[in-house]
Amino acid sequence: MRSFTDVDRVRHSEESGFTTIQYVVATAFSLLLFMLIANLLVDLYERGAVRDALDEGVRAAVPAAAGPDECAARANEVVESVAGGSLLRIDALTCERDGDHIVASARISLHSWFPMLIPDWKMDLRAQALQER
Amino acid sequence: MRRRCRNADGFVAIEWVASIALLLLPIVVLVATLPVWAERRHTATVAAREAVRRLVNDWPNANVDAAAEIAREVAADHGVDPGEVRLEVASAGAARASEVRVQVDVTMPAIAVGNMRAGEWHYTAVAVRRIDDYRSR
Repeated sequence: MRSFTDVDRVRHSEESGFTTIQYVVATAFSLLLFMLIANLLVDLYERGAVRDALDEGVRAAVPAAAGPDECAARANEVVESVAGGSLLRIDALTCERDGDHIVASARISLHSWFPMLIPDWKMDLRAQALQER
Repeated sequence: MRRRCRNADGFVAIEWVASIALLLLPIVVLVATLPVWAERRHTATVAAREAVRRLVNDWPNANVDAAAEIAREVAADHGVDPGEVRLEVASAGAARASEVRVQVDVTMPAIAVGNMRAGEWHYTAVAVRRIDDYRSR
């Protein structure tokens, strides 16, 4: 009659290396997925930060005496303070009057952490507010 | 009983399926859904603020349709389908020093992973502005 230790030893010799390879591959893929999720969350944060910056910009231009210059200055200030890292590139940020509204627009690029797998995320964002009379 | 414990056939597969179902999927769903809720909540707040400003600016000839159009434009700017935003004017400001109150209701997907949506709930943002005491008509 074989002891439990003998059975265990036989089983291990039959599966030698199997768990290790599986573990390494599964861990690698899990970490990759984790990094992709982290990249997505950072991108969402930066998109929200730029939207907030545009909202702040148009609100700065709401008083009748203010205008597009105040809007652009405030929006740039907010972007620098809340998303000033290298992962966000502002390709264009403009403010202009459109009728009785002030409209801020931005074209941005969010850098991918894995350029080989996923390209940069480019998008156009916009905000508007009614100007005081 | 001892035989069952020693037999590890299928153990890894079951462990894998269980970990995917109980850990990975819920986390992916949460990670994908929570930012959507935050964005839509912010959208509703901004839409309500802009709509109420429009009503106060136009007072006493406030146009509810124009305010609703503003709310829809704000929603579109924030990437929310304008059809998922509904504006309700609770009070249009009866006289000077009264308040204009609007509610913007936005549909929140219970689960949102990419373009896949399941279930929904609603969030309502409220914005209030006072008509100036000496506002000319």
